[in-house]
Amino acid sequence: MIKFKRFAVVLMMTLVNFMLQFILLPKIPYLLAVPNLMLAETVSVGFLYGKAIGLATGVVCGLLTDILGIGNPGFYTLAYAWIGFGNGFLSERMESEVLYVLFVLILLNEILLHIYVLLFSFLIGKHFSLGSYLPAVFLPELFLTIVSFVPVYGILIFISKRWNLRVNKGEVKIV
Amino acid sequence: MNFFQNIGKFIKEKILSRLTSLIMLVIVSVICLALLLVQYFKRADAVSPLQVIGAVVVPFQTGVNEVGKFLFTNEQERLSLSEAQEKIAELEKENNELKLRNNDLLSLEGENDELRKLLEAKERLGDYASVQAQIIGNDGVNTFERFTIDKGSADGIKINMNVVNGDGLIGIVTQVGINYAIVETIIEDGMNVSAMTRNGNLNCIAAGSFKTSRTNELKLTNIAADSAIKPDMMLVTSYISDRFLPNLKIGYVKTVQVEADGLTGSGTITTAVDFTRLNHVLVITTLKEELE
Repeated sequence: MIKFKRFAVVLMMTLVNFMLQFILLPKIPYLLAVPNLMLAETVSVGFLYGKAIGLATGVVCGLLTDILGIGNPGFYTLAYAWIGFGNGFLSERMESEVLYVLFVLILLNEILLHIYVLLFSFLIGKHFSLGSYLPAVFLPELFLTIVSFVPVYGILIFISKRWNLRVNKGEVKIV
Repeated sequence: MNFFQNIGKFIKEKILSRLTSLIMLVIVSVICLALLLVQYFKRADAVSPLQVIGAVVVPFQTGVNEVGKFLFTNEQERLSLSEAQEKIAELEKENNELKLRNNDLLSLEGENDELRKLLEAKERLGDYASVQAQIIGNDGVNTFERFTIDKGSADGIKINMNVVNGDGLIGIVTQVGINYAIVETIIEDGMNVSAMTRNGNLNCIAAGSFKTSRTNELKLTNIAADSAIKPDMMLVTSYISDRFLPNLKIGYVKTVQVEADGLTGSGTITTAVDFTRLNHVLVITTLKEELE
């Protein structure tokens, strides 16, 4: 039952985040960039539920981004799969959850994702220069993703506690 | 019978129980790399069975897009502060007139105008057959300037078809699913369109870049220092391009300057299309290769 509930929660969150990132948020005027909610989702789920579910969420988020976002299957799936797995792997080896550690985590993940995009975009026929990529894409996205990570992670941990979806984990501390 | 049972037992114990997440990760990585390599070596028509996901999610997208249109209507514009202040002064003049109009009627009228414009464009495009489509997904990945439309291979959309609206060229179809397609816009970084002046005398390249994509601009490159290309000249797609149909409006030259080497020039182009306010587009179903 817990497995089914987890599955339902993660699937719903993924779909909601996808709709927000790819349909609703880009329609807001004055917004310089769109927060990478797919990344926030993958990192949160990986960190909360471990590497197996993190990997599965990463694959789903990656496929949605690839197939309905940019049209190059495999590009983001590869990155998100590793991110989901990696965060799950980390959380299984971390005792306490301090909130600022999570911010460092999302920061690191965002940096790694963009290094991957810059290094491997030649595979989908693109060459980006760092000089214009950094101010125009990376920095606005980084800021918005860190901000949007709070509600994504918050909602997930709220539901998890409500339904006891996590086992053997300590309390989340603010400092 | 016993033999098959043994095989089943063997698979269960030796393989499935060891199918840990690490092995799954390796499998996913290998599949993704294979897909990426296929795309790298065979750019155009790499169609994947994964597009089934599209068939499931696209109806949702269409629905959510309707909600989005309701929340953030066309009336809202993306303007800078100074532009906004000018706009406010203008709007105050028009305020009295506008009060008379009903809001609902206004949005309906806007949509009607947009569709009418598309219809006009369709008539002007003349020889080219085209399909009308609605945008259901926006550029959610900041690195890329692409969007999803609600027409796919079932409606006759193919890769490399040109996408336009009443104002001019928008982009090109890069991937097609059954009921959706992905359009790569000309403002995306790394996108190059060979352009020419209206009379076809002067050639240049209109290139998208991160720096200019948010302001509806393109970079103007590949011109000589003493080129006759001057600001306010209209640029259209040229005959040389192998993907873009000729004579589609790209935009107007905004600035031109001589590069540091003194031999070449560069500049910026204002696109004819306002990429921040797209809703309906036309996909031209005639391919460039068919023309030749």
